[in-house]
Amino acid sequence: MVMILGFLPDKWSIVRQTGSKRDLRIRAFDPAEIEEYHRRFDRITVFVIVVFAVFFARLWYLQIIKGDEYLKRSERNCLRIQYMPGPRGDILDRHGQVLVQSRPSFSISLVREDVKDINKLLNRLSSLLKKSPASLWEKVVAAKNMPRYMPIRLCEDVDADTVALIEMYRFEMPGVTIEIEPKRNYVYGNMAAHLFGYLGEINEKELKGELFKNVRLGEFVGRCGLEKVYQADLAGMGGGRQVEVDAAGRVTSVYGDIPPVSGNNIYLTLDADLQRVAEDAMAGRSGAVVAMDPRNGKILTWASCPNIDLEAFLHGLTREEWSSLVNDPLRPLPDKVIQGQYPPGSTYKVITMAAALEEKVIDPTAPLYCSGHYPFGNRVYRCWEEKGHGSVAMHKAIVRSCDVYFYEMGRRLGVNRLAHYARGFGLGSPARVELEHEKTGLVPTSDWKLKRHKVPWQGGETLSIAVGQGFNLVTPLQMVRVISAVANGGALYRPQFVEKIIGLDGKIIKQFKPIIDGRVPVCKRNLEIIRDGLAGVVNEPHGTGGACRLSTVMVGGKTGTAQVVRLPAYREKNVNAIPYKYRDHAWFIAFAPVEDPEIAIAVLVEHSGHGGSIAAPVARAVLEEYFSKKSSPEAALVRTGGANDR
Amino acid sequence: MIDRRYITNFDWPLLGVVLLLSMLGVLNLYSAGYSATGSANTVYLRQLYWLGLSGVIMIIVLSFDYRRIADWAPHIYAGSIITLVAVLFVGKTVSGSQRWLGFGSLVFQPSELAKLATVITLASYFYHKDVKKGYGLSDLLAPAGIVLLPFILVMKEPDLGTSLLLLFVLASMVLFVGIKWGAFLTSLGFGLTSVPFIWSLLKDYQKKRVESFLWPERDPLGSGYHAIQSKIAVGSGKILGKGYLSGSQSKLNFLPEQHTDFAFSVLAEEWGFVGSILLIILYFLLILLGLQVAMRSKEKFGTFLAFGIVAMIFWQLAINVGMVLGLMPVVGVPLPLISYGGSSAITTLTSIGLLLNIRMRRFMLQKGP
Repeated sequence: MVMILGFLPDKWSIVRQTGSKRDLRIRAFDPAEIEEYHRRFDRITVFVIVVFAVFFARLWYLQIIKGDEYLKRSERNCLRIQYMPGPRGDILDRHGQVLVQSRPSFSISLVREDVKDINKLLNRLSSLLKKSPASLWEKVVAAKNMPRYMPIRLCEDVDADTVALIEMYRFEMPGVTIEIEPKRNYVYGNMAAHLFGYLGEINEKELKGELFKNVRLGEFVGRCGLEKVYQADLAGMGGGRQVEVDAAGRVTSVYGDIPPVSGNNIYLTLDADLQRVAEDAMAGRSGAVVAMDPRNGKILTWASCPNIDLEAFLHGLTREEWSSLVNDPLRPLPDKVIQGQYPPGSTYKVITMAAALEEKVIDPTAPLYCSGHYPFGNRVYRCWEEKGHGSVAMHKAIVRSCDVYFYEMGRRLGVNRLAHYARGFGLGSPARVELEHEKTGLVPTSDWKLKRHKVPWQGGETLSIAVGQGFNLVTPLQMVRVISAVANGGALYRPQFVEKIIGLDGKIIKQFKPIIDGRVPVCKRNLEIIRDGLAGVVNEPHGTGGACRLSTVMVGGKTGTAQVVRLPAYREKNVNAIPYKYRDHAWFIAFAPVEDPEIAIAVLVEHSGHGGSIAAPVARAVLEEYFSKKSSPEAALVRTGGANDR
Repeated sequence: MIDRRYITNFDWPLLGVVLLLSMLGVLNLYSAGYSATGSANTVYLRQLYWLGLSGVIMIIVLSFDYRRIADWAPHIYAGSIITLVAVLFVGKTVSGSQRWLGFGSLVFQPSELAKLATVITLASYFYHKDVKKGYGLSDLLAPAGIVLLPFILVMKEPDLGTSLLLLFVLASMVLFVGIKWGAFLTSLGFGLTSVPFIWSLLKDYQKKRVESFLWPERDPLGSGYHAIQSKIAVGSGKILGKGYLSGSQSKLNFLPEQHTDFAFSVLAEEWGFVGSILLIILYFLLILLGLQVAMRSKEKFGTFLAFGIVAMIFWQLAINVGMVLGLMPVVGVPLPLISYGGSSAITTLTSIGLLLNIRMRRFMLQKGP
């Protein structure tokens, strides 16, 4: 192995072959050189002696001259390091409104080195802090491997009264310190909680990882949502100071000081006012509202309802709190915008319509007849309108959401051609948002069914797919991309949350640009026919989306009612009479203005009833706020003013 | 049968000093790892195992004529560069530096070996490239390149202490073999002018690291704190020390890295001025005996190699002792034979083995061909 590296020329080799004897070549010094080298050795020896003399002198100085002083300092061991965590950066909306910020909070810590009797002290503290001594002990034990001069945090975010109480008795309790540290403050409560994500105290494993290099024990890091994705940008740089303390642990002098540095501020594409309106409209319900600008994919609202309590996560959840969150029928934990998967219901007819137009399986002006029933095989598929729609061409079919017309389209197209278009609109694959755990949904094909269920595809199932029932699964985010693509002429934008990241000095650190991930396989002309139909859904008499009509702006949209179970028993009943978990999901997807769309929205309300009556009014509230804010000069003033302030 | 002249020419005093230092090191590590809480104290045992292994390697090193190493230098050098590259890709990261290569439970620090490999390569280069009246600028390009490659790789880990040590060794050896005045001034000027240029290439966090290396008081939470705690430990030892196993600074964990970089602080605290001076004298003897080996070798490769090894050991101990005594910035350079470290023990004892080898084979030249 050594020989492969043998690049030394032969004449350089030290081994010499003389006859049969191998001998080592010798290059000796000539006499003149020897003298020169001896002079060098003398100089080197002098240098070495000087260096060692310096060490001798230094030891003499430290141990003999200053020895008593250092001995005293070592006995008192009074040097401490106080860490000051850097505040996390703020999260702001597109107009510069602060949504999440850092505020100062007080915590009570303990320096073991200064403690006389730790048992007595913890008992005393437990009565002052109203915490059990066992819980305090736990914190001390958890930090047993840390140096004794490092403060151990016992109690976080204590109120002003407790701080005053501790301060009063502090001279009796050497080793107890009060520290100020930044804490997350949610300006609008739990608004957009899933998008922001909650924080959690860093654990031992994460401390060792590369990701959290500047984070110390006891600090908080993003656990999910944007707080986690942008942890590196938001996290502040901790500082601290080296201080000398007296016997009671009070600072007597400061030797060095590194000020903590805040994290960077993140400006979102979100609009706080729209977000608030959306969440208010969803009050008491479970579901998702997501709105984006179809011209660039910027997210305007991102609501998953009900919200989680971000503040509660800061204090740490108890086991009971966790289990009540997990068992809540409204499912507050997942971010329903990307993790909720639902059948799309009739909103899927947009895709069936696009496929029918593009594949030319029907002349859009040619009427079909809807009697309210559609016999297929040995079954009869029903239209939601039992009396039937009579003679329907494509425009009327989408406006009134005629099931029979789309059953026929599905039959003519077949499941695999439908799947091709569904994929083309971005269904069945993640939208590649930055957030974690995005669900992909499901676009069924005949091959998929054979593989997954080991049963061949049934023709009747195609009919269900064509009207958005059956195996179909989509997320609200996927549906807002569908309607955005229809609105903007076919571009599938990557959803974008963050406009820019601004450093402390006000400089832009990162600016984000829209990304187009693809185009839908539908030509502009056919998309126009679809937009025209969707405008009819909202604005024409008998349209199913009338509840989203605005007086000022023309809105286009599509309703959807996703069946959870197909039980004839529940068909005629009042919604409230059906058990919650069997109620239909209500969908509404919309865009406006129809002529030049600026906003696209998807609303899903879980287990609530019809899309037209439940989901459309939610979308209407958001759209109304959007356009009134846009036209009101006062709002515009606030907007520009706010942007300049920050 | 072993030639009797090997025995008569053997440098027994050098071996004695090294053994004494190793024993002191183990004794001191026992105290550094000893704690009042009674947790397991295994550092000194592990150091003993490493010393045993290093001793075996040292005997192997004695068994062949050191002049063969001049031929092996390119392979040794290439091997050490390969391990340095490997450590950047598959190395273990401990407290922010990626310095260790693991083979099962064995962990090795290639930058330690790279020091010796670089010394051997430089000695071999100067031996082969013989000039009569000092080396010119063009002759120094190759040695500069030989050092620059491991320097950059070690810097990347990052291990500032070891990479600076490589530069110190290069400078010492170049000055020793002789350099033309013009070449000396040019390379000095080049070195000084390139500093601002390199500085501008560094990233912000790298600049910060260098700054806190040069001015520890700017890092009162890290090295600045360590420096003052070390001074307190040394000073509080006074004349006779606090006694073995009774150093309060080390027992209460005020000293950082007390097994490795600050092992001397523990010794100074517990044995006081008397113990510290004894240790300093032992090192002084080690350096002088090493220089003797270099001086009395009648053959150039032996002189160059011995001098390079002495320079390597000298700068390590000078930087470490300077750091412990608060004369130098805090950089992670171990104290040979006193600090805990398997790689350091192997490198040091292999180097000592080479010194002994050079010394005991010097008689071969007395007869001449």
